[in-house]
Amino acid sequence: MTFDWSFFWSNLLTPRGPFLQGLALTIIISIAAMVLALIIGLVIALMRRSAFLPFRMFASFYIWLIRGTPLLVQLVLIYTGFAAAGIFRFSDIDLPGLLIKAAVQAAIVGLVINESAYISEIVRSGLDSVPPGQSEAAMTLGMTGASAMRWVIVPQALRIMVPPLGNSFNGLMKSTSILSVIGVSEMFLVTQSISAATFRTFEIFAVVAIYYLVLTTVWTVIQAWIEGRLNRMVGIDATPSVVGRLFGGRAAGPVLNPADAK
Amino acid sequence: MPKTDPASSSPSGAAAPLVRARGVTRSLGGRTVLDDVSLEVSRGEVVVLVGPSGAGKTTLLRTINHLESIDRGEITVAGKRVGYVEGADGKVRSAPKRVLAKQRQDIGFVFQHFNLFPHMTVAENVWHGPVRVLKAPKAEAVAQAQALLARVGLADKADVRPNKLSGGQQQRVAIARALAMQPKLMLFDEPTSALDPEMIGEVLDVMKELAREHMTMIVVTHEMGFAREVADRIVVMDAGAVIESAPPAELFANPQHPRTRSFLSKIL
Repeated sequence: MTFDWSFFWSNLLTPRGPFLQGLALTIIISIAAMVLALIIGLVIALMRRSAFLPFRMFASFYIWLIRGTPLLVQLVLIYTGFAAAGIFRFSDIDLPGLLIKAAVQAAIVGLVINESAYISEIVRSGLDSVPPGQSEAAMTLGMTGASAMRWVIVPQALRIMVPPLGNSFNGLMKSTSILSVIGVSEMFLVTQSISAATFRTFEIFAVVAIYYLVLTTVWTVIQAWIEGRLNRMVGIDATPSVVGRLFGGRAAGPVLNPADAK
Repeated sequence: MPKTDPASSSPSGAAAPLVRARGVTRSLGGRTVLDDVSLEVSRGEVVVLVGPSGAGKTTLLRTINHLESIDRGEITVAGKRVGYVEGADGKVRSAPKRVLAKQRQDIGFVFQHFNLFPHMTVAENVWHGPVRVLKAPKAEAVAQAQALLARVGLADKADVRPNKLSGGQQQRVAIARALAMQPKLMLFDEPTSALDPEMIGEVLDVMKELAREHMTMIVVTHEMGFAREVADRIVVMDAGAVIESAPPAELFANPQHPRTRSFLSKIL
């Protein structure tokens, strides 16, 4: 076995400019797509709960369509397929000091569409997890539906939603590697080109694996912090530590309201 | 806009019942849950609803603030229909959500399972309604919450979460939360049924205190001692209908309806 340690260490510790740009693009696309997918996912979830039948039908159709097809196919359809059929062609957006390439736009749109369908289901199950007595209590105080959502339902649903949403974001960061097929020069595509230029395939892909691992690990820490805050908000003090979360098993989750568990 | 309700605008308005249910009927899945129920409750009156389980007591209570809809009949609180509006054409429609929300501000509701907001402290549970719904100044609402908590004997629990309290304490907070809206009417849905026996007294004491202050109350309960001591009138329901209504002394001494007699013999 030949493993070029010096190539490995230098690429790991002092990555080249293009690699760092790829890393930055991966992070930016992930965050942008997640934020937008959260908004669209919330809208789809609310449509799914709407009293207005066409909204419910649209939301169900959207979720069915998007969850039933691969992200890879969706991306190629959105970027290449639509352009080839003359439906829609992404073009670069040149803002002062900011150039958003066509492929990057298509990538974000594709990821948002794909992720929002899954997120809407997470949001829906989160909202459904809040006992009906909570919205009844809010209503008896004279709150309107929107006010009850804002002050009573969503704060409690968040606690349920954050672990699966965090999981989604973790998956999303890794899914960005698929964007290489539409030519987005994120971390994976840069790695591929370094590999092609140097033939150090094993070394450079070991490096990129470590970088993805660092990204998802940092996110694990952030997510643990968010969950801890939300748990304390409902008066639960015990939250698994980051170390316990990474390397230890998890005990049964804390019970929100012991009276409800009876 | 024409006045549709002479009772609330006439000089005799004070004598008109605060709650008036007429011919209230509700069916659910082919079963009649409420069958032509009529009930009047005057201001300051304490009415206890009793009856075997499945009699429709809780459903009737929940229709009064429109947590449940009705199929026929009408329910008014302070002369206004709850949850419905009568159009100029005489047709009855669902009230706009904001109108219903406004009406509910005047009707306190205490649930069997408390339904406190677990993500708020005890004090926040109490001042949340006044601040978010009535837009009361926060400092005032917080002071009022503190006073209400003192009144239900929980001044020292203001800053803890509801899940740190016993059932009896949670229910007392729930009563304080409802009172913070300064309601005209308080509805209690089996407020002590989910409690351990040793905690029932503390909740009933708070309710007795309220009755002494002439709060208008409708209480669904199985606590016959409470009914005997506090109720101005006991209303007996069976199979979705009101079968008897009398002051406690009269009802316990001389029940008229055979099913009242059989019900009382089982629980007394």
